Amino acid sequence: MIKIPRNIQLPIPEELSPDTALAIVEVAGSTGVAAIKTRTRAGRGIDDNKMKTPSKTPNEQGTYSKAYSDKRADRRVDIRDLTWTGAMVQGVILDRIETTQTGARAVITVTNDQKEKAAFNQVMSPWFGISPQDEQAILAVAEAELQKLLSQA
Amino acid sequence: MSIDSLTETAEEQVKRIARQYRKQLPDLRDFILQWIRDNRQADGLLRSQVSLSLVYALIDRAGTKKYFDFDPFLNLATETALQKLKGLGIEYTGGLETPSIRGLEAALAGEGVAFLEQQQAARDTATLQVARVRDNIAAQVQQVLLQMQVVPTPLTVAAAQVSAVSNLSQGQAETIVRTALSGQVQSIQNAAGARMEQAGIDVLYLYSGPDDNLDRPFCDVCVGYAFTKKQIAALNNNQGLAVTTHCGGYNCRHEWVPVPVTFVERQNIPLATGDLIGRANRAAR
Repeated sequence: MIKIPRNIQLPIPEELSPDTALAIVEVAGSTGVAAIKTRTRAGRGIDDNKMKTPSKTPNEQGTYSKAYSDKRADRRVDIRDLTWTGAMVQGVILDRIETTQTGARAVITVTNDQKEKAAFNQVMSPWFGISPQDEQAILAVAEAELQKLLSQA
Repeated sequence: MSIDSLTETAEEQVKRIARQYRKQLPDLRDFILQWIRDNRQADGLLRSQVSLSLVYALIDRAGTKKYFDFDPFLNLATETALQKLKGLGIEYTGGLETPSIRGLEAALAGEGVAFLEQQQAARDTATLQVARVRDNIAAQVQQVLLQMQVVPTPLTVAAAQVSAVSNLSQGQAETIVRTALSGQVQSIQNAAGARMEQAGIDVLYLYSGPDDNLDRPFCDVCVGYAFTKKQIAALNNNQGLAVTTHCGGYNCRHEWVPVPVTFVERQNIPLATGDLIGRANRAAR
């Protein structure tokens, strides 16, 4: 089963100009992208726990199958960082910022050429999405940047 | 993998997409399969300069362009591929423009061949043969980049397509496609950083990616640190490629991730220093 990443909502004060509101949504989106990448490269999944291999013959650390672990010579096997060429994690981008009837939305996606690989890995060990710690980071950063912008205005 | 199987793979991919979206695109499967049949040559390869333009136009005509959501990438791909290919030392003399409206109209009206001949004639008079060969590679890489945004294409297949029309080996072609694609994605991220900066937000760029024994010495020094734009400009990977878009160089697995300063502070990410930049540049020599 592919787990659907969660949506998070950020209340924006009404007195903000539309441009500033969009800038904050952009901040939230960019922070979300950075949080996903940082977490994944640290080997943690969308539950913020260390990602494990579903293989029945895991390596000592439980991160990859033993056979694949041997193949990853010179790459990390102590964590499941989902990196071989780096293209899949690099393919996580802030796709667009769009206004909606009730506010604005930042859409994070994986580039089309990496989608199949990303979906496969999502089934193996869910990584794409907003984890509880990602959510905390997004809310904290957006709030801090909002206060900065308000103080400058 | 044989040439026939390459083509079969492409056809299977198109069929799969058409099956998946049959309800939304009742006519697309037949259109695209007919296009493949029309353009497949004796050697089994698809060689049509208007192929992606045609696919694009068909999807557009089916009224489902929005569903595919590739238009922003398509434009960005052509624009950034142009710059990236220049950065890779591939000269071009034309043919790397965003698919023109005239090209699409010609494709839809069935004038594709005539239109191409017209373009080719103009090109022949203006360029040397060597330039045309390079142009062909550039156009092929561009086409592959666009194709990869529409149909999931394995890198090996994409590189085989480039290799087939150039004197590049499979490995060289893979490196060029991978590096150009990576540069393209990096440009999207840099654009997000630039938008935040324009909105008055202080932005830093994380040098993000794997930290393992395969890292280049340059990347090994930089990975995990946050840089300002000015600091990035002072970096030199000694590969002849811009650090801003290609990080450590060809096949680099790292990337710049733009983030607000507050994210860096919150996550306790170390800041780059002048000393670190000096070490990175020395390591790249």
